[in-house]
Amino acid sequence: MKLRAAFERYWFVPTPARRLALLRILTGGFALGYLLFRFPSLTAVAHFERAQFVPTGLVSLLSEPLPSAVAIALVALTFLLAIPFVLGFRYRVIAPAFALSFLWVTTYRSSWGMLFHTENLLALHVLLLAAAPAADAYGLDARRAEPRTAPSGRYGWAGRAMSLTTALCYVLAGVAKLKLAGPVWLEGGLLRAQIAYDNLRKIEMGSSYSALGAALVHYEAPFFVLALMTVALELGAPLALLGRRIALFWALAAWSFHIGVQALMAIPFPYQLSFVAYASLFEVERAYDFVAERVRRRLARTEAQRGSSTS
Amino acid sequence: MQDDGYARWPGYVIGLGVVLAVALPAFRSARDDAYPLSTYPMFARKIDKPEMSFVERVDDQQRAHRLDPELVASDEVMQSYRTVKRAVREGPDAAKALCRSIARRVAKREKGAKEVRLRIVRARFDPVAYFVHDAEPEEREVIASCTAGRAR
Repeated sequence: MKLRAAFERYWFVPTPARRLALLRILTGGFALGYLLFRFPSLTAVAHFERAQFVPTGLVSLLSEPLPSAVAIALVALTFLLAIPFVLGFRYRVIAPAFALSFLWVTTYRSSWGMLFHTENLLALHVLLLAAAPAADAYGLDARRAEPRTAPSGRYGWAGRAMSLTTALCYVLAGVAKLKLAGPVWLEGGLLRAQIAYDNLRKIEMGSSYSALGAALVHYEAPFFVLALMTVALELGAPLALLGRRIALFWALAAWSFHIGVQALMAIPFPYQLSFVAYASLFEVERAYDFVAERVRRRLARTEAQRGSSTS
Repeated sequence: MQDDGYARWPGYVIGLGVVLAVALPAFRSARDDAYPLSTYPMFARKIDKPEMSFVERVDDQQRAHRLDPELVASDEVMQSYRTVKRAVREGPDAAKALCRSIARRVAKREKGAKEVRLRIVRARFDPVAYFVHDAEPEEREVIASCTAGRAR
């Protein structure tokens, strides 16, 4: 029972409603932008040949691809559902519908022989937020209800679960390297070959590639350092759960890692690069208050200047 | 711990459920990847001299040019790459069918102004040597070729 009580104190940590609401706005807002800018890619699979269909995850329920019009309509519907999700409107019904449809359209896109590892974390975070009362502040639903100002455990678990999920994804990536290649991965040669291979594939496929990555492949030594740093970052991800300072240090390191992946392999991880992926590790409402206060002061100063110039 | 009597089941069922589900792939083969519950095997595999399959467009002077990935399958280069790789792995008939469908797409985009001659090629490279020593592919094989459109 003691263990359970300790777990509940951790999992249902009293948290202000507005922290969870800000996570909803940040993550949902990112998902909304992603759906908009990736609309052509998300719908391109609707026109793929049936022979290319390799269902994964939820989409394994299908034995045949969806008719093109249905596949495209589902992406459009997901985009439309993202708007009330961000606005916190009819959240208890719309949020789960949005989370499931986002999971569906991203899984469907990954069901054609290529798994998009750039979308996993976003889909999982949206799913967690959709199950939590993330519209009890800063939302249209919140305007109609009694304001909830006291921190409560009901707002704590989703942020905890988002942070744990983030850390786990990195740990799994580190474990996969050690499982598939073994300690030799730490020597850097495999990373060098991987970066060369990835850029070569892009050249052969007529796409843009990383000139920096191609140039760096000429040298061996940097890859030893990069490989060690990569595995340390991945396996060390749970450290970010220990406190805000270490979380900031780790999140900046993880963000820099994705900048490096983009620079050397031209592979963008948009959610991670936006830093929104790491927001659950922090008291985001403090950042919001800081920015809001600065904006308020600036507006007051502008107002005062206008007043003095007219008098 | 019932501080204000809220329901805890979403925290247990969805919150803890998602976390446990994300952790589960650690206990299966790292090659057994899926979405969204991934083993994250990208960049983890040993690479020696991999085979690559790609599409070439052949011009009137028999020079080979790479096609835009969007014309192959999608604007996502890796999705286009996997599409070609899969067709080659499935055999000459699948490669030929893919070649024809790409050629038709290119011809349609160009409104049939030019004959479109394509080749699907499989080649074996040493990726590091390619950049460091400008090495040519060690093996190269045309798996399928096709034409579409008409020269006027």
